[in-house]
Amino acid sequence: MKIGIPRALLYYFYEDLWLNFFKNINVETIVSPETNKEIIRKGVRDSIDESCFSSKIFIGHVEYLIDKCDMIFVPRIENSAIMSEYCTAIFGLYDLVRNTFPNAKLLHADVNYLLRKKEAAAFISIGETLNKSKEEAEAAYKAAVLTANILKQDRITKQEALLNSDDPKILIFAHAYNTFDASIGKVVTDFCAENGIQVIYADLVNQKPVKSKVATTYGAKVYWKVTAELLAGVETYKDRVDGIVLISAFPCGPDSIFNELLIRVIKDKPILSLVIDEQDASTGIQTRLESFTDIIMAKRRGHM
Amino acid sequence: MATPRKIACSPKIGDYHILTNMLVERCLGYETMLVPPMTKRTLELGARHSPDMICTPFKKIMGSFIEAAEMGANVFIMPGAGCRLGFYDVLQKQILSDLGYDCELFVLFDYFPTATRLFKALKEVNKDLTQDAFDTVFYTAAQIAFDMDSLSDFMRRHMGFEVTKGTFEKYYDAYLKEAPLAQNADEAKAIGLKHKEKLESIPINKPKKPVRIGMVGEIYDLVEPFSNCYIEKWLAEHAVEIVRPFGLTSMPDVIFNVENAIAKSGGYVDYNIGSTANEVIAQAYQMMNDKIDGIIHVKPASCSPEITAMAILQNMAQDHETPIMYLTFDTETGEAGVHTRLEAFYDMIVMKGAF
Repeated sequence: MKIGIPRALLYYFYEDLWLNFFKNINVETIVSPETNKEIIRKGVRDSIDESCFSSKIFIGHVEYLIDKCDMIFVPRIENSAIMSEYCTAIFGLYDLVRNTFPNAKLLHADVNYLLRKKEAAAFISIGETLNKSKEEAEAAYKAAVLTANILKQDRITKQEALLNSDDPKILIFAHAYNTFDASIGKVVTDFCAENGIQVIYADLVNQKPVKSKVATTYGAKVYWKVTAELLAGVETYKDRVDGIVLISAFPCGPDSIFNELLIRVIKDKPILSLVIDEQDASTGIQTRLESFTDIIMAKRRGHM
Repeated sequence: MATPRKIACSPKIGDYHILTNMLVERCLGYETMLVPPMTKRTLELGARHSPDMICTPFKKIMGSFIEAAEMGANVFIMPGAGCRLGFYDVLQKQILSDLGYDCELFVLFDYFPTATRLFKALKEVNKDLTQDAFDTVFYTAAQIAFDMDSLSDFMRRHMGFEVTKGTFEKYYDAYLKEAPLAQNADEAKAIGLKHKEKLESIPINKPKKPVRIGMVGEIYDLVEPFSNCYIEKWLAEHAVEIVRPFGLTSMPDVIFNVENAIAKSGGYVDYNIGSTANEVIAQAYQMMNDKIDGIIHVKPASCSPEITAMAILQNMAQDHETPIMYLTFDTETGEAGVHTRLEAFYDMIVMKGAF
C-alpha cells in the first residue's frame, strides 16, 4: 500500500504531521515533486478557468499521482475550532477532486469541529481504512503532533535569531502553500537569498491569533484561520522588518480583503503586493523586487 | 455641534432592501434612502476603489455606497455573516473613510445570522428597543420576505405567457409599494394575499409544454436584475418558464441545514462546499431529475464556492445530459454579450427539444 500526497495547499500546513503519522504507522508515502511546468499545464487543463492558481496546482499534483500510488490522500478540513475556518476553496477540495477525477481512489477523512469531528478522530479513521488498530493510529497521531510542534518551535526560534541580525529583512505575508511553492513564492525567496535579505515568515509566530490587534482593530473577527495567523505575525514582526511582501495566487478570497486592508492601514512600512497566476512572469517579478529592495535600502541608509 | 442626522441606506440586492430599510427605520429610528439606481458610473466607481481580486458584488455595492454617500447617506447597512461577505463592511468603511466620508457601517449579523443576534445588534445602537417591538418588526419583515419570494416565483413561472406585456411586473411593483406599509405580520399577510389573487387573475396564454429553464447560482447575481443583465426579463420575453427556487428565505436553510442539501444532491457532494454552493447542487440535481430543458448557472467573478460548484455541475450535467450554461458577471459584463449567449443557448434548447 502506497499513499500519494499532493505537494500543494494543505500539505504545506501539515507536512510534518502527515509525513510523521504515515511513518509512525509504517505506511509508505510518495509526495509529488515540486510544482513544475508539466504539473501546472495539467492542473490548468483539468480545472475550471476561474479557480485560484493554488487550487489548479493542486489538481495538477493529484493528476501526477494518479498512476503512481494506490490511494491519494485528500483530507477534508473545514476548520480547527469555531470561527477558525479554512477558505471555501480548501474545504470544497475533496468534493472538487472527486468530481474532477471520478475514478481516482482517495484516502480521506473529515475534520469539522462544528460537527465535533476532531483531527484525532480523522487520523484514527484513516488508520482504520489502512487496517491499523485504533490504538496504533492514535499513538502514531499523538507522536506526530509532538514532532510537528517541536519542529515548528524550532523554526520560530531560528526566525527569532534572524530577526535580531543586522541584515535587511522582509516579512512575507502569504499562505504557506504560496510562499513555498516552486512556481509562486520561490522567485521571492530566491531573490532574497541572492541579495542578502533575510526572509521572515508572518505565519511562524507563537502569539495566539485571536489576540492579534490588527485583527481586532476593525472590530471584525477574522474567522479565516490562516489569515488570522498571518495578521498575528504582522502584528508581532512589523516593526522589526524593513518591508512587507504580500504574495497571492490569483484570485484569492481572503487575500482580496486583507491585502487591501494592510496596504490601506500600514503607512510606515514599504509594502509590495505580488499577485501570481499561471502566466510565468518571474522576470517581471524580479524587476519589481529589485525596485522594492532599492526603496528598502535607501530607507535603511536614511535617504527616504 | 449637533450630531448630523442619520441617513441610512441598504445595498440594492433585488428588492430586499425594503426589508432592511424597514428594520432600521422602525427599530433605530433612522431616516432611510434608496441607493441611486445603478449605472455604468456606479460600476466604474466601484471597480476603481475596490481591490482587484475581490468578488464582484463588493465592487457593485461599493460603487452604490459611494454614490449614496455623495448624496448624504452616512449609515450603510450590510448583512454580514460568513464567506467574504462577513468582511465587506470592514473594507467598505476603510475605503469610504479614505475617500473622506465619515460614516458608520451597520452590520445585521455577526457570523451566525439568527434573530437573537440581530436583536442584540440593534439593541446595541438603540438601548430603548424592546423585544416586543423588535419581534413585531422582525415578523412583519419575515412575512414580507416569504410573500416576495412566493409571489415572484409565481411571476417567473407565468410572466412569459402574459397576454398583455408588462402586466406581471406592474402588479408585482404595486405589491412592493404596498408591502412596507404593513405595521405587523397580519397586515403584511393580508397585503400579500390580496396581491396574490391579483397576480393569479392576470390572463395568460401558456402552452401545455413550454420551454423550462432553471436558474441556479450565487444569490446576489440571481436576485439582482441589473447585475445579471436582466436575464429573467429576456427569458420571459422569449416565452420561457423560469424555475428559480432561490430567494432570501432560502438562506436559513443554506446556512443552518447544509446536511439537507447534501442529502438531496444525489451523491455528487459529500460535504459542505461553502456558502450557497450546496443548495445550488441540490437544486440543479432536482431540476435535472425533473427533466428540465436547460440550466443557467450565474455567479459573480471570483466567487470561489460557486467555482467548486461548477466543477461538480459539469460532472452532473454530463451524467444527466442536461444542457447547462455558466455565466460569470463582473463590472465589465455587457448586456449585449450576455443576450447573445442566451439566444444561442435558447436556440439550442428549442432545436434539441423540438418545441
